[in-house]
Amino acid sequence: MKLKAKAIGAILLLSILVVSAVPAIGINSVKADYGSATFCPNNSVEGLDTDNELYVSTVITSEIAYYIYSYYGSYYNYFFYGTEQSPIYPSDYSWALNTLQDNCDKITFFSKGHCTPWGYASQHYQLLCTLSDENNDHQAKDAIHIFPYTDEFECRLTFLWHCATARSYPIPPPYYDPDGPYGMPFCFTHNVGMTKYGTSGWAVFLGWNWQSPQFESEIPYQYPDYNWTFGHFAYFYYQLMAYGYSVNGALEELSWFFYNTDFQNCPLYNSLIVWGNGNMNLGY
Amino acid sequence: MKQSKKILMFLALATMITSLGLTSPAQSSVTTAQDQALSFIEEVLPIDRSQYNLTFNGYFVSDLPGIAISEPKDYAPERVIYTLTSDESELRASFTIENNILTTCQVSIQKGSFISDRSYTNLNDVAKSFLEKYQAYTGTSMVNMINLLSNVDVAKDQTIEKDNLKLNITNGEFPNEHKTTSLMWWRSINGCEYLELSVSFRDGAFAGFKDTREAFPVGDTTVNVSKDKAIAIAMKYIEAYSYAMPDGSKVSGFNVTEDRTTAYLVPSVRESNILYPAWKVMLYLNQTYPGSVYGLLVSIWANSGEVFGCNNQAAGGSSDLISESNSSPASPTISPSPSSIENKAPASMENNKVPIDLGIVAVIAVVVTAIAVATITLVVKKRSK
Repeated sequence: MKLKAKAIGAILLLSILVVSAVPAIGINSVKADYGSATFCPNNSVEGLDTDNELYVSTVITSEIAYYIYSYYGSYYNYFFYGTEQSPIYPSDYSWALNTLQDNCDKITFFSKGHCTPWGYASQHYQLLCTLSDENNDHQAKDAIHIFPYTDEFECRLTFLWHCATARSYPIPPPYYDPDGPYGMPFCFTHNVGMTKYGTSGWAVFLGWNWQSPQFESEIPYQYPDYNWTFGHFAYFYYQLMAYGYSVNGALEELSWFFYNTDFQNCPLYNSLIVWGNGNMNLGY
Repeated sequence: MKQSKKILMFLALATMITSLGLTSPAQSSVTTAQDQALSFIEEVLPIDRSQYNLTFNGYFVSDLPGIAISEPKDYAPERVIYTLTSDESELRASFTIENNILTTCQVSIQKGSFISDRSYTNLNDVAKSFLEKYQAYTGTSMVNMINLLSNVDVAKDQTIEKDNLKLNITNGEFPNEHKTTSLMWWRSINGCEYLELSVSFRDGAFAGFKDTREAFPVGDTTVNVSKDKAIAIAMKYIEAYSYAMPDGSKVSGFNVTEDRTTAYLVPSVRESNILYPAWKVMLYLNQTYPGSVYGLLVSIWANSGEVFGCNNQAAGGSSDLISESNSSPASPTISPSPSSIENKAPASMENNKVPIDLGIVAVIAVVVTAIAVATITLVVKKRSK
């Protein structure tokens, strides 16, 4: 009887661990279903981020990476955060996208940071990396560091929490200018058919129409006032996604939570843009 | 022996919970929240209940990330999700329970259309009927709110006020031909507006509601500080305010573009869940300061004038780079060679670039646990001898 109890306990323990480990160990020779990357370049050189913003961004993006990972449990879930000593370079974006599309069928991507226009007619956009300033080449450019590494159409759920990343879309033929293909929505998805706040299609891209709020910034006009910040917004958004909410469902939920009304009536509508299928969730 | 069994069971449960990555909420919390959602569906939601099968679809507690000192300590909103399915229609109803009170219900149509409990003549009829059902559900009189709806066409944007009660009606046409109507009732006390109820309809059917009155009761509504006084307090406060940059330097000495300053009264939470009027003073700075900070949002209690918060308001762009880029539209393009990409691969293994490799973690966990189990078994064997 004593042995039986002990044996049951031991088997239970081991079986639970083995069962929980099986989906994660994976087989590298077969393409994984889902892969993800979460980027937090943390620009500290140019003085774009305060000390608190760097801290809050690192905490929140690590939580976001965890939520995505906890949903997929896949081998290919990357979390990149930059420091001055160990910076993120534009080629890290390329490497992550390339690795994910080589090894996965579907990619979920999140990045938080700064973004500026560049190139022909200023219709290109570049994500500022850790050491990015105006005199160097440390910006992940849409045509150069993103587009060539997303050509397998696998970036299905992308959220760029950087300024103006929803702009330069929709994009007319021939989809490029003298500096190449342009706009983050197109360069990540290679999809020219995403509609604004749409509900169909194989991809969804979230970005900001112009200024993206820093995570430490308080959400204006929240009710009741709890001093919630946009870091909380991003955190709750991915928490809801991890519990199976769709993009639209999560935005609706957060709109009711912070503003007591539906998303179309809240101040973020037309500022936080959803291109493509808002009915998609992490299990797309 | 009993002790060893307890250890084994504890280890087993702890491992189970850890390996599932879940916390285990008390069953009573789940049941209570679930019950509240269920009774709302049965008694208030304007659906033809005979047409729908109900499926419990999830419960979780939203924990907080712990990123701010002001973050509420004992606040953990619970969320319950139900799916309602019929042959032609599927609805997803999600509920938020705050401070043990159901405050929010949001319904989204997953398939088909919303099957109503009865036919309605117009949106006024839908709204009035919802309020009457909700009034019966809560046992709280909503006569004043219902009266404000009388002789009003809710399809038109407008604000109606009677005594200290105000109704805001907002309509919008949105992509995919959805038409939404939002009704928000506010009670004004000493110039501060407290939300009574918010109800929203999409394409003429119920879409969502929020009622925070019971979960966040109103405390002392005294407003001793005027708007001008609040702005003056905020201006004085930022004279001594500073924030840190990553290099250790402090940013202070802010210049404000005073004609852009705004201030509004809002109920703010104190003492866990009680609402008190507070001024939110937005001071726009005369330039973008280090850290991309363009403004400071100062929070002031309206009864005492005490400042209880000052937040940097900042955005993720760079005005310098934007203008620089605008002045030189063409930039050189540099294509990375495939080898430069490959060379970056090892960099992803640096300590700040973390591939979340559960496989290795799990294998290590199995080995460590096996050793622990073997050790416990040996100790127990020795003791039983």
